[in-house]
Amino acid sequence: METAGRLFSTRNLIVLLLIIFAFTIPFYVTSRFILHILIMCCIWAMAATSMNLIMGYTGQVNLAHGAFFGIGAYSAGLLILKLGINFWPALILACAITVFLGLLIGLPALRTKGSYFAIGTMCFNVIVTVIIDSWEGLTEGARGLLGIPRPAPIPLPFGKEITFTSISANYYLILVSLLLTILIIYRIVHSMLGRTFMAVRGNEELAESLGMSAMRAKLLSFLISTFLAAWAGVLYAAYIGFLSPEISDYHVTFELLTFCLIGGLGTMVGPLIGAFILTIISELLHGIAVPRLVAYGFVLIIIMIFLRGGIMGGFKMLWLTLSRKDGR
Amino acid sequence: MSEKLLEVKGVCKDFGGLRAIDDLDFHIREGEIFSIIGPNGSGKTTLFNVISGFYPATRGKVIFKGEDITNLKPFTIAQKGIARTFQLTAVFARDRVLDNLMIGHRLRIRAGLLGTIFGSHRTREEEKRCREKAEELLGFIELTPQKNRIAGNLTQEAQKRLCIGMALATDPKLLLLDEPTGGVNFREIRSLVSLIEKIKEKKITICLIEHKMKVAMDIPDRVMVLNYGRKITEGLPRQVSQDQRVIEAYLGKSYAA
Repeated sequence: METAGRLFSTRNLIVLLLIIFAFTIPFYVTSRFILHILIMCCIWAMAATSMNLIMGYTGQVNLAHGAFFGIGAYSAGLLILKLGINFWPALILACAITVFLGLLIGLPALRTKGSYFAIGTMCFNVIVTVIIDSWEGLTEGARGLLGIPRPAPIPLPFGKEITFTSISANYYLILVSLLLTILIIYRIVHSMLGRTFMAVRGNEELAESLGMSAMRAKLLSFLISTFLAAWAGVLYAAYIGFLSPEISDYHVTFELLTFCLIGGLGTMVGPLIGAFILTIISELLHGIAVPRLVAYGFVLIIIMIFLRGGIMGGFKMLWLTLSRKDGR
Repeated sequence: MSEKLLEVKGVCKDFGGLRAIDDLDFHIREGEIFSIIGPNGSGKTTLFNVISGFYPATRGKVIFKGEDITNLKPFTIAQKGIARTFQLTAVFARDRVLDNLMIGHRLRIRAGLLGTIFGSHRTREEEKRCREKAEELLGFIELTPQKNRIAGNLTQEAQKRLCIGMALATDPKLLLLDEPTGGVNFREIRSLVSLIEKIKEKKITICLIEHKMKVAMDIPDRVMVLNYGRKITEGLPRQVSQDQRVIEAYLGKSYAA
């Protein structure tokens, strides 16, 4: 393969070091609080990265992402608590349920374009929250779902098992999930399938004239991102152990959108950076909700005016101008 | 006479009360260059949009290689072997030239989801095929030196050639070119004309809409003239340019002596 020559490039080295660093953190960080923040970062990074596929790479402003996160979380919570299903099959089932609902909403919603799609999906998001809030017989309504257990242990041969009682075990589970999400999105983006998505983002008419079904591409991208959002939601449910209707609220969607926009929509690293920076800041500023939202708004306005591509877009521009100067 | 590749039978296209194409009959023969001319608003681009599936026809039939393709979706028609370019130059402006050409060949591969995620051998083969196709076309449209440039930064004329290249990447039997020389200067027209002639040598049938008389009359084998959505005449370029009705449509009655 052509990447063989570039196997030891600086970029790959940095990625490798970061992964090693991420895996060794529990060995020297004993603070539960810091590990908790990192776990939240990973969960939100997963959700933001999956949102980036439909929004950044396929160009469809999907404002129902928080709803799918919430549906995934609630499905898993209900399956585990009400039906007593083991965590692992519940994880798969919850993702399947969410993808099915995604298909039901995606088929009509994706027929609309641009801001109409954005408004349509946002309405769906609000409806989902209202349903979760008012269907008390199923979801316990505003009281929320209490006592969702941590992931069930994975049995290994010779009577051993991997348990998820400690916080570092949960950290590893969620870190691996995040890495898998990144890998999946990376693979898709750097393939002909991803090029198809980006072609639809670039010019739907042109893509259709070149023999690509825009609807098919959009729906596939929508469902993949829905699947990954549900996965992140299930991990959230099992880690936090408590769910309330707010977890599917459109505020979650906008929070994810903020992560993507500040980090850089349509870049691999952008949503990760956005999710990590903003989650750390907001967890540290816990309890002072109002100034946080004001600060969010302020940062967003600045980014939208001066740095349209987010942090990663800014880096790219800087890199381009620097390398151009070198060339001349 | 060679075989009819595309046949248009009694096609009408209405926009509300306006009849943009009125009961149009014509055919394109395999291997020829067929040119459609006519004053502004005579329905040329509408006709392209009906053939390529972007507008549904109000009435009538479009038959391609003996198969009825009326009102199929644009991507299905492209898969069947009709490629088109747009009047307003349309490229994926944010992507590199090479990527633009690779995506043009997308419709001939599968690019399945699981194969993509697990990096299957087949998916890698498919991507290699697209890359080879793109490299081959880069040479054909003479953009090899610019292959890593961002498409949106190319000159208008180079973008026009890229558009044609992307359409060719779909392996078409019939190529519909909507004003291939629109918006480029006089000197650059020559390179586009020679490109069109090169395409003909590849045994690809071409149908083009043109405004510039030199292009519209010099390259094609046959010409059709439209006015108000109706066919005025059809025939060899020389005959058509002498036709009184054509002169009348373009210049008004007083010039048609």
